[in-house]
Amino acid sequence: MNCNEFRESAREILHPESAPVDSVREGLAHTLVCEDCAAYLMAERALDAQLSELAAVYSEVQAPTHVEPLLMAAYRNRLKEDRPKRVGRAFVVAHWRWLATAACAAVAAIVIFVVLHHRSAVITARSVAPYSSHATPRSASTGAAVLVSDNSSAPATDASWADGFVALPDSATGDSLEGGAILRIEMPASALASLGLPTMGVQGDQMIPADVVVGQDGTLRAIRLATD
Amino acid sequence: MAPKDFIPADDALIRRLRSGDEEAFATLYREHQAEIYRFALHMSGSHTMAEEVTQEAFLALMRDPERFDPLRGPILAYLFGIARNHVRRAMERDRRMQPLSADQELDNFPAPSSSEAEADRSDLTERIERVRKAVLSLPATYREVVVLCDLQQRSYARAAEQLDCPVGTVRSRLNRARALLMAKLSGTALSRESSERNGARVPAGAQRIREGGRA
Repeated sequence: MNCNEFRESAREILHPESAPVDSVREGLAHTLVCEDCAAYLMAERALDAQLSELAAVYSEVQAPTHVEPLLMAAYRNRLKEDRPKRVGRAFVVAHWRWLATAACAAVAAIVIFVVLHHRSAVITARSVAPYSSHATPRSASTGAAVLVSDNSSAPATDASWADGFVALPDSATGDSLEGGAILRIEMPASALASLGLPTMGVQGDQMIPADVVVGQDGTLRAIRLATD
Repeated sequence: MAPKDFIPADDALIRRLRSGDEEAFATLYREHQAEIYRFALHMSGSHTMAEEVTQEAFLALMRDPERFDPLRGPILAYLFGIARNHVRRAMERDRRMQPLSADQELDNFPAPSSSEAEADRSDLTERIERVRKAVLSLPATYREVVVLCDLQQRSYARAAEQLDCPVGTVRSRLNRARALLMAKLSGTALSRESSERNGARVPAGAQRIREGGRA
Protein backbone atom coordinates (compact mmCIF):
# COMPACT_ATOMS: atom_id res chain seq x y z
CA MET A 1 0.00 0.00 0.00
CA ASN A 2 1.37 3.41 -0.93
CA CYS A 3 0.61 6.74 0.73
CA ASN A 4 -2.20 7.68 -1.69
CA GLU A 5 -3.91 4.36 -1.21
CA PHE A 6 -3.47 4.70 2.52
CA ARG A 7 -5.13 8.12 2.62
CA GLU A 8 -8.00 6.86 0.53
CA SER A 9 -8.69 4.12 3.02
CA ALA A 10 -7.72 5.88 6.26
CA ARG A 11 -11.31 6.17 7.46
CA GLU A 12 -11.85 2.46 6.90
CA ILE A 13 -8.86 1.72 9.11
CA LEU A 14 -10.69 3.55 11.89
CA HIS A 15 -13.95 1.81 10.99
CA PRO A 16 -12.82 -1.70 10.12
CA GLU A 17 -16.42 -2.93 9.77
CA SER A 18 -16.63 -1.05 6.46
CA ALA A 19 -13.44 -2.46 4.89
CA PRO A 20 -11.83 -5.81 4.12
CA VAL A 21 -9.58 -7.10 6.91
CA ASP A 22 -6.56 -7.31 4.61
CA SER A 23 -6.90 -3.68 3.63
CA VAL A 24 -7.01 -2.59 7.27
CA ARG A 25 -3.99 -4.74 8.10
CA GLU A 26 -2.03 -3.34 5.17
CA GLY A 27 -2.95 0.19 6.18
CA LEU A 28 -1.79 -0.29 9.73
CA ALA A 29 1.43 -1.87 8.49
CA HIS A 30 1.99 1.18 6.30
CA THR A 31 1.83 3.53 9.30
CA LEU A 32 4.77 1.65 10.80
CA VAL A 33 6.99 2.63 7.90
CA CYS A 34 5.57 6.05 7.00
CA GLU A 35 5.55 8.79 9.61
CA ASP A 36 3.42 11.14 7.50
CA CYS A 37 0.71 8.55 7.12
CA ALA A 38 0.92 7.71 10.80
CA ALA A 39 0.32 11.40 11.55
CA TYR A 40 -2.48 11.46 9.01
CA LEU A 41 -4.11 8.54 10.75
CA MET A 42 -3.85 10.36 14.06
CA ALA A 43 -5.51 13.40 12.51
CA GLU A 44 -8.26 11.17 11.12
CA ARG A 45 -8.74 9.66 14.55
CA ALA A 46 -8.98 13.11 16.12
CA LEU A 47 -11.49 14.18 13.48
CA ASP A 48 -13.51 11.05 14.19
CA ALA A 49 -13.57 11.98 17.85
CA GLN A 50 -14.74 15.51 17.09
CA LEU A 51 -17.48 14.26 14.79
CA SER A 52 -18.53 11.69 17.37
CA GLU A 53 -18.95 14.46 19.92
CA LEU A 54 -21.06 16.45 17.53
CA ALA A 55 -23.14 13.37 16.66
CA ALA A 56 -23.59 12.54 20.34
CA VAL A 57 -24.91 16.01 21.08
CA TYR A 58 -27.58 15.64 18.44
CA SER A 59 -28.24 11.92 18.73
CA GLU A 60 -31.50 12.36 20.62
CA VAL A 61 -32.72 15.49 18.88
CA GLN A 62 -36.12 15.10 17.30
CA ALA A 63 -38.56 17.29 15.44
CA PRO A 64 -40.43 19.67 17.76
CA THR A 65 -43.53 18.15 19.30
CA HIS A 66 -45.91 20.58 17.62
CA VAL A 67 -45.02 19.23 14.18
CA GLU A 68 -46.85 15.93 14.61
CA PRO A 69 -50.28 17.43 15.45
CA LEU A 70 -49.90 19.85 12.55
CA LEU A 71 -49.17 17.04 10.15
CA MET A 72 -51.96 14.88 11.51
CA ALA A 73 -54.43 17.75 11.09
CA ALA A 74 -53.22 18.22 7.53
CA TYR A 75 -53.59 14.50 6.95
CA ARG A 76 -57.17 14.47 8.25
CA ASN A 77 -58.06 17.42 6.01
CA ARG A 78 -56.49 15.66 3.11
CA LEU A 79 -58.48 12.55 3.82
CA LYS A 80 -61.73 14.53 3.90
CA GLU A 81 -60.93 16.11 0.55
CA ASP A 82 -59.78 12.89 -1.01
CA ARG A 83 -62.43 10.55 0.36
CA PRO A 84 -64.60 10.39 -2.79
CA LYS A 85 -61.58 10.16 -5.07
CA ARG A 86 -59.93 7.60 -2.82
CA VAL A 87 -63.07 5.45 -2.65
CA GLY A 88 -63.51 5.64 -6.40
CA ARG A 89 -59.87 4.81 -7.00
CA ALA A 90 -59.94 1.99 -4.49
CA PHE A 91 -63.03 0.58 -6.18
CA VAL A 92 -61.35 0.74 -9.58
CA VAL A 93 -58.18 -0.85 -8.23
CA ALA A 94 -60.10 -3.60 -6.43
CA HIS A 95 -62.47 -4.40 -9.31
CA TRP A 96 -60.46 -3.46 -12.35
CA ARG A 97 -60.82 -6.91 -13.90
CA TRP A 98 -64.59 -6.82 -13.71
CA LEU A 99 -64.69 -3.23 -14.92
CA ALA A 100 -62.43 -4.06 -17.84
CA THR A 101 -64.59 -7.08 -18.75
CA ALA A 102 -67.77 -5.00 -18.56
CA ALA A 103 -66.21 -2.30 -20.71
CA CYS A 104 -65.11 -4.88 -23.30
CA ALA A 105 -68.58 -6.45 -23.30
CA ALA A 106 -70.22 -3.07 -23.81
CA VAL A 107 -67.90 -2.24 -26.70
CA ALA A 108 -68.52 -5.69 -28.24
CA ALA A 109 -72.30 -5.26 -27.91
CA ILE A 110 -72.15 -1.87 -29.60
CA VAL A 111 -69.99 -3.26 -32.41
CA ILE A 112 -72.31 -6.26 -32.92
CA PHE A 113 -75.37 -4.00 -32.93
CA VAL A 114 -73.83 -1.65 -35.47
CA VAL A 115 -72.66 -4.51 -37.69
CA LEU A 116 -76.02 -6.30 -37.60
CA HIS A 117 -77.92 -3.10 -38.23
CA HIS A 118 -75.68 -2.28 -41.16
CA ARG A 119 -75.98 -5.81 -42.56
CA SER A 120 -79.79 -5.83 -42.39
CA ALA A 121 -79.87 -2.49 -44.14
CA VAL A 122 -77.59 -3.80 -46.86
CA ILE A 123 -79.60 -7.02 -47.22
CA THR A 124 -82.84 -5.09 -47.45
CA ALA A 125 -81.37 -2.70 -49.96
CA ARG A 126 -80.04 -5.58 -52.05
CA SER A 127 -83.43 -7.27 -51.95
CA VAL A 128 -85.09 -4.28 -53.61
CA ALA A 129 -86.00 -5.33 -57.11
CA PRO A 130 -85.59 -2.89 -59.93
CA TYR A 131 -88.93 -1.28 -60.53
CA SER A 132 -89.83 -1.29 -64.16
CA SER A 133 -92.77 0.05 -66.06
CA HIS A 134 -93.12 -3.40 -67.55
CA ALA A 135 -93.42 -5.03 -64.22
CA THR A 136 -96.81 -5.58 -62.77
CA PRO A 137 -97.49 -3.74 -59.54
CA ARG A 138 -97.15 -7.01 -57.67
CA SER A 139 -93.72 -7.63 -59.08
CA ALA A 140 -92.63 -4.36 -57.47
CA SER A 141 -93.84 -5.47 -54.12
CA THR A 142 -90.38 -5.96 -52.65
CA GLY A 143 -89.14 -2.72 -54.07
CA ALA A 144 -92.08 -0.77 -52.74
CA ALA A 145 -91.52 -2.19 -49.34
CA VAL A 146 -88.47 -0.01 -48.71
CA LEU A 147 -89.94 3.13 -50.00
CA VAL A 148 -90.51 5.80 -47.49
CA SER A 149 -93.91 7.28 -47.28
CA ASP A 150 -96.15 9.17 -45.00
CA ASN A 151 -97.56 5.73 -44.19
CA SER A 152 -94.18 4.40 -43.09
CA SER A 153 -95.64 3.06 -39.89
CA ALA A 154 -96.70 0.04 -41.91
CA PRO A 155 -94.30 -2.91 -41.90
CA ALA A 156 -91.56 -2.48 -44.43
CA THR A 157 -92.21 -5.90 -45.97
CA ASP A 158 -95.92 -5.43 -46.25
CA ALA A 159 -96.68 -6.12 -49.88
CA SER A 160 -100.02 -4.40 -49.63
CA TRP A 161 -98.29 -1.11 -50.24
CA ALA A 162 -97.52 -2.22 -53.73
CA ASP A 163 -100.93 -3.70 -54.52
CA GLY A 164 -102.83 -2.02 -57.27
CA PHE A 165 -100.00 0.16 -58.55
CA VAL A 166 -99.98 0.84 -62.22
CA ALA A 167 -96.76 1.92 -63.85
CA LEU A 168 -97.02 5.27 -65.50
CA PRO A 169 -96.44 5.35 -69.22
CA ASP A 170 -93.65 7.94 -69.13
CA SER A 171 -91.76 6.60 -66.14
CA ALA A 172 -88.15 5.54 -66.59
CA THR A 173 -87.64 1.86 -67.11
CA GLY A 174 -85.25 -0.41 -65.34
CA ASP A 175 -84.38 2.09 -62.59
CA SER A 176 -84.24 0.93 -59.07
CA LEU A 177 -86.79 2.44 -56.76
CA GLU A 178 -84.43 2.31 -53.85
CA GLY A 179 -84.73 5.56 -51.99
CA GLY A 180 -88.06 6.43 -53.62
CA ALA A 181 -91.25 7.30 -51.76
CA ILE A 182 -94.96 6.62 -51.76
CA LEU A 183 -97.02 9.71 -51.30
CA ARG A 184 -100.73 10.10 -50.70
CA ILE A 185 -102.15 12.76 -52.99
CA GLU A 186 -105.50 13.99 -54.10
CA MET A 187 -106.06 14.46 -57.78
CA PRO A 188 -108.98 15.40 -60.02
CA ALA A 189 -110.81 12.40 -61.45
CA SER A 190 -110.32 13.84 -64.88
CA ALA A 191 -106.61 13.11 -64.61
CA LEU A 192 -107.22 9.37 -64.30
CA ALA A 193 -107.74 8.90 -67.94
CA SER A 194 -104.51 10.66 -68.82
CA LEU A 195 -102.67 8.26 -66.59
CA GLY A 196 -104.29 5.27 -68.21
CA LEU A 197 -106.63 4.50 -65.32
CA PRO A 198 -110.37 3.84 -65.61
CA THR A 199 -112.50 6.80 -64.67
CA MET A 200 -115.10 4.52 -63.08
CA GLY A 201 -117.89 7.03 -63.73
CA VAL A 202 -116.52 9.60 -61.34
CA GLN A 203 -117.14 13.19 -62.22
CA GLY A 204 -114.15 15.01 -63.70
CA ASP A 205 -113.89 17.79 -61.10
CA GLN A 206 -114.14 15.44 -58.10
CA MET A 207 -110.92 15.02 -56.12
CA ILE A 208 -109.95 11.46 -55.42
CA PRO A 209 -107.16 10.14 -53.19
CA ALA A 210 -104.33 8.18 -54.77
CA ASP A 211 -100.93 6.81 -53.86
CA VAL A 212 -98.06 7.66 -56.15
CA VAL A 213 -94.58 6.23 -56.29
CA VAL A 214 -92.01 8.98 -56.69
CA GLY A 215 -88.59 7.93 -57.85
CA GLN A 216 -85.32 9.18 -56.42
CA ASP A 217 -85.10 11.58 -59.33
CA GLY A 218 -88.44 13.10 -58.34
CA THR A 219 -90.50 11.73 -61.26
CA LEU A 220 -93.70 9.78 -60.82
CA ARG A 221 -93.30 6.09 -61.50
CA ALA A 222 -96.58 4.44 -60.56
CA ILE A 223 -100.01 5.21 -59.19
CA ARG A 224 -102.91 3.51 -57.54
CA LEU A 225 -106.24 4.66 -56.32
CA ALA A 226 -106.43 4.76 -52.58
CA THR A 227 -108.94 2.33 -51.23
CA ASP A 228 -109.07 3.51 -47.62
CA MET B 1 -36.27 -8.58 -5.61
CA ALA B 2 -36.51 -6.77 -2.30
CA PRO B 3 -34.06 -3.92 -1.84
CA LYS B 4 -31.48 -3.70 0.91
CA ASP B 5 -32.87 -2.65 4.27
CA PHE B 6 -36.34 -3.50 3.06
CA ILE B 7 -38.65 -3.39 6.05
CA PRO B 8 -41.85 -5.38 5.59
CA ALA B 9 -43.53 -3.39 8.38
CA ASP B 10 -42.98 -0.18 6.42
CA ASP B 11 -44.46 -1.79 3.36
CA ALA B 12 -47.57 -2.71 5.31
CA LEU B 13 -47.76 0.80 6.73
CA ILE B 14 -47.52 2.29 3.28
CA ARG B 15 -50.34 0.07 2.07
CA ARG B 16 -52.45 1.22 4.99
CA LEU B 17 -51.48 4.83 4.35
CA ARG B 18 -52.61 4.52 0.74
CA SER B 19 -55.98 3.31 1.90
CA GLY B 20 -56.31 6.38 4.16
CA ASP B 21 -55.26 4.96 7.53
CA GLU B 22 -54.40 7.85 9.82
CA GLU B 23 -52.68 5.64 12.37
CA ALA B 24 -50.33 4.32 9.68
CA PHE B 25 -49.25 7.86 8.86
CA ALA B 26 -48.69 8.64 12.53
CA THR B 27 -46.60 5.49 12.95
CA LEU B 28 -44.47 6.29 9.92
CA TYR B 29 -43.93 9.80 11.19
CA ARG B 30 -42.91 8.67 14.67
CA GLU B 31 -40.53 6.08 13.28
CA HIS B 32 -38.69 8.31 10.86
CA GLN B 33 -39.10 11.95 11.87
CA ALA B 34 -35.99 12.06 14.05
CA GLU B 35 -33.67 10.81 11.31
CA ILE B 36 -35.06 13.26 8.80
CA TYR B 37 -35.02 16.13 11.26
CA ARG B 38 -31.42 15.49 12.31
CA PHE B 39 -30.28 15.15 8.71
CA ALA B 40 -31.88 18.47 7.81
CA LEU B 41 -30.50 20.08 10.96
CA HIS B 42 -26.96 18.93 10.26
CA MET B 43 -27.25 19.95 6.64
CA SER B 44 -28.70 23.40 7.28
CA GLY B 45 -27.61 24.24 10.82
CA SER B 46 -31.07 25.69 11.35
CA HIS B 47 -33.84 24.26 13.53
CA THR B 48 -36.41 26.26 11.61
CA MET B 49 -35.30 24.85 8.30
CA ALA B 50 -35.03 21.34 9.72
CA GLU B 51 -38.60 21.60 10.94
CA GLU B 52 -39.77 22.92 7.60
CA VAL B 53 -37.94 20.18 5.71
CA THR B 54 -39.33 17.47 7.97
CA GLN B 55 -42.84 18.74 7.44
CA GLU B 56 -42.33 18.95 3.70
CA ALA B 57 -41.01 15.40 3.50
CA PHE B 58 -44.01 13.96 5.30
CA LEU B 59 -46.45 16.22 3.49
CA ALA B 60 -45.08 14.92 0.21
CA LEU B 61 -45.63 11.37 1.39
CA MET B 62 -49.12 12.29 2.53
CA ARG B 63 -50.05 14.04 -0.69
CA ASP B 64 -48.94 11.29 -3.01
CA PRO B 65 -48.09 7.99 -1.33
CA GLU B 66 -48.37 6.27 -4.72
CA ARG B 67 -45.05 7.84 -5.73
CA PHE B 68 -43.20 5.72 -3.24
CA ASP B 69 -42.15 2.44 -4.80
CA PRO B 70 -41.09 -0.14 -2.17
CA LEU B 71 -39.09 -2.00 -4.81
CA ARG B 72 -36.77 0.97 -5.26
CA GLY B 73 -35.81 1.25 -1.61
CA PRO B 74 -37.07 1.68 1.92
CA ILE B 75 -39.39 4.47 2.93
CA LEU B 76 -36.60 6.20 4.86
CA ALA B 77 -34.52 6.50 1.69
CA TYR B 78 -37.54 7.97 -0.08
CA LEU B 79 -38.07 10.51 2.70
CA PHE B 80 -34.35 11.32 2.71
CA GLY B 81 -34.53 11.99 -1.00
CA ILE B 82 -37.33 14.50 -0.50
CA ALA B 83 -35.61 16.08 2.50
CA ARG B 84 -32.35 16.34 0.63
CA ASN B 85 -34.00 18.12 -2.30
CA HIS B 86 -35.77 20.53 0.03
CA VAL B 87 -32.59 21.30 1.94
CA ARG B 88 -30.68 21.97 -1.25
CA ARG B 89 -33.42 24.16 -2.64
CA ALA B 90 -33.70 26.08 0.58
CA MET B 91 -29.96 26.56 0.75
CA GLU B 92 -29.82 27.78 -2.80
CA ARG B 93 -32.64 30.14 -1.98
CA ASP B 94 -30.82 31.51 1.01
CA ARG B 95 -27.11 31.32 0.54
CA ARG B 96 -26.55 33.61 3.46
CA MET B 97 -28.04 31.08 5.84
CA GLN B 98 -26.00 30.84 9.00
CA PRO B 99 -25.99 27.94 11.41
CA LEU B 100 -27.71 28.39 14.71
CA SER B 101 -25.08 29.27 17.22
CA ALA B 102 -24.30 26.80 19.94
CA ASP B 103 -24.79 29.56 22.50
CA GLN B 104 -28.40 29.96 21.52
CA GLU B 105 -28.99 26.27 22.21
CA LEU B 106 -27.15 26.31 25.48
CA ASP B 107 -29.22 29.23 26.73
CA ASN B 108 -31.94 26.74 27.57
CA PHE B 109 -29.78 24.60 29.81
CA PRO B 110 -29.21 24.95 33.51
CA ALA B 111 -26.22 27.01 34.51
CA PRO B 112 -23.20 25.03 35.62
CA SER B 113 -22.89 24.66 39.35
CA SER B 114 -19.15 25.09 39.58
CA SER B 115 -16.35 26.77 37.76
CA GLU B 116 -15.03 23.39 36.65
CA ALA B 117 -18.35 22.53 35.04
CA GLU B 118 -18.44 25.96 33.48
CA ALA B 119 -15.03 25.46 31.97
CA ASP B 120 -16.04 22.02 30.72
CA ARG B 121 -19.15 23.44 29.16
CA SER B 122 -17.34 26.31 27.57
CA ASP B 123 -14.71 24.02 26.13
CA LEU B 124 -17.28 21.62 24.76
CA THR B 125 -19.35 24.42 23.30
CA GLU B 126 -16.35 25.87 21.58
CA ARG B 127 -15.29 22.54 20.16
CA ILE B 128 -18.71 21.57 18.93
CA GLU B 129 -19.26 24.97 17.41
CA ARG B 130 -15.98 24.74 15.55
CA VAL B 131 -16.70 21.29 14.15
CA ARG B 132 -20.25 22.20 13.23
CA LYS B 133 -19.12 25.29 11.40
CA ALA B 134 -16.53 23.26 9.57
CA VAL B 135 -19.16 20.71 8.53
CA LEU B 136 -21.55 23.45 7.45
CA SER B 137 -18.86 25.09 5.38
CA LEU B 138 -18.38 21.99 3.25
CA PRO B 139 -19.94 21.88 -0.22
CA ALA B 140 -23.35 20.19 -0.05
CA THR B 141 -22.25 16.99 -1.80
CA TYR B 142 -19.46 16.51 0.73
CA ARG B 143 -21.52 17.64 3.69
CA GLU B 144 -24.26 15.11 3.09
CA VAL B 145 -21.87 12.16 3.13
CA VAL B 146 -20.30 13.41 6.35
CA VAL B 147 -23.75 13.86 7.88
CA LEU B 148 -24.91 10.42 6.81
CA CYS B 149 -21.77 8.37 7.44
CA ASP B 150 -20.06 10.20 10.28
CA LEU B 151 -22.89 11.91 12.13
CA GLN B 152 -25.72 9.46 11.49
CA GLN B 153 -23.57 6.33 11.35
CA ARG B 154 -24.85 5.03 8.02
CA SER B 155 -22.87 2.36 6.23
CA TYR B 156 -21.54 3.26 2.80
CA ALA B 157 -24.20 1.07 1.23
CA ARG B 158 -27.10 2.74 3.03
CA ALA B 159 -25.71 6.19 2.38
CA ALA B 160 -25.36 5.30 -1.30
CA GLU B 161 -28.97 4.15 -1.34
CA GLN B 162 -30.17 7.33 0.27
CA LEU B 163 -28.09 9.55 -1.94
CA ASP B 164 -28.93 7.49 -5.00
CA CYS B 165 -25.32 7.09 -6.08
CA PRO B 166 -22.75 4.26 -6.18
CA VAL B 167 -20.96 3.14 -3.02
CA GLY B 168 -17.62 4.13 -4.55
CA THR B 169 -18.87 7.68 -4.97
CA VAL B 170 -19.86 7.85 -1.31
CA ARG B 171 -16.45 6.54 -0.29
CA SER B 172 -14.49 8.95 -2.42
CA ARG B 173 -16.66 11.93 -1.43
CA LEU B 174 -16.28 11.04 2.20
CA ASN B 175 -12.49 10.84 1.95
CA ARG B 176 -12.41 14.19 0.21
CA ALA B 177 -14.83 15.70 2.73
CA ARG B 178 -12.79 14.48 5.67
CA ALA B 179 -9.59 15.83 4.13
CA LEU B 180 -11.32 19.21 3.78
CA LEU B 181 -12.55 19.03 7.37
CA MET B 182 -9.09 18.21 8.64
CA ALA B 183 -7.70 21.14 6.73
CA LYS B 184 -10.35 23.45 8.21
CA LEU B 185 -9.88 22.15 11.72
CA SER B 186 -6.12 21.91 11.60
CA GLY B 187 -4.25 24.00 14.07
CA THR B 188 -6.16 24.16 17.28
CA ALA B 189 -9.06 22.01 16.24
CA LEU B 190 -7.70 18.53 16.51
CA SER B 191 -6.46 19.09 19.94
CA ARG B 192 -4.91 16.68 22.30
CA GLU B 193 -8.14 16.58 24.26
CA SER B 194 -10.16 15.45 21.29
CA SER B 195 -7.74 12.67 20.60
CA GLU B 196 -8.14 11.52 24.13
CA ARG B 197 -11.92 11.57 23.73
CA ASN B 198 -11.78 9.07 20.91
CA GLY B 199 -15.06 7.16 20.80
CA ALA B 200 -18.61 8.20 21.49
CA ARG B 201 -18.23 9.21 25.11
CA VAL B 202 -20.54 12.11 25.77
CA PRO B 203 -19.14 14.81 28.01
CA ALA B 204 -21.35 16.31 30.70
CA GLY B 205 -22.10 19.49 28.75
CA ALA B 206 -23.05 17.54 25.67
CA GLN B 207 -25.29 15.34 27.74
CA ARG B 208 -27.23 18.43 28.82
CA ILE B 209 -27.70 19.43 25.19
CA ARG B 210 -28.99 15.95 24.34
CA GLU B 211 -31.51 16.00 27.15
CA GLY B 212 -32.93 19.30 26.02
CA GLY B 213 -33.07 18.47 22.32
CA ARG B 214 -36.78 17.84 22.21
CA ALA B 215 -38.73 20.62 23.76
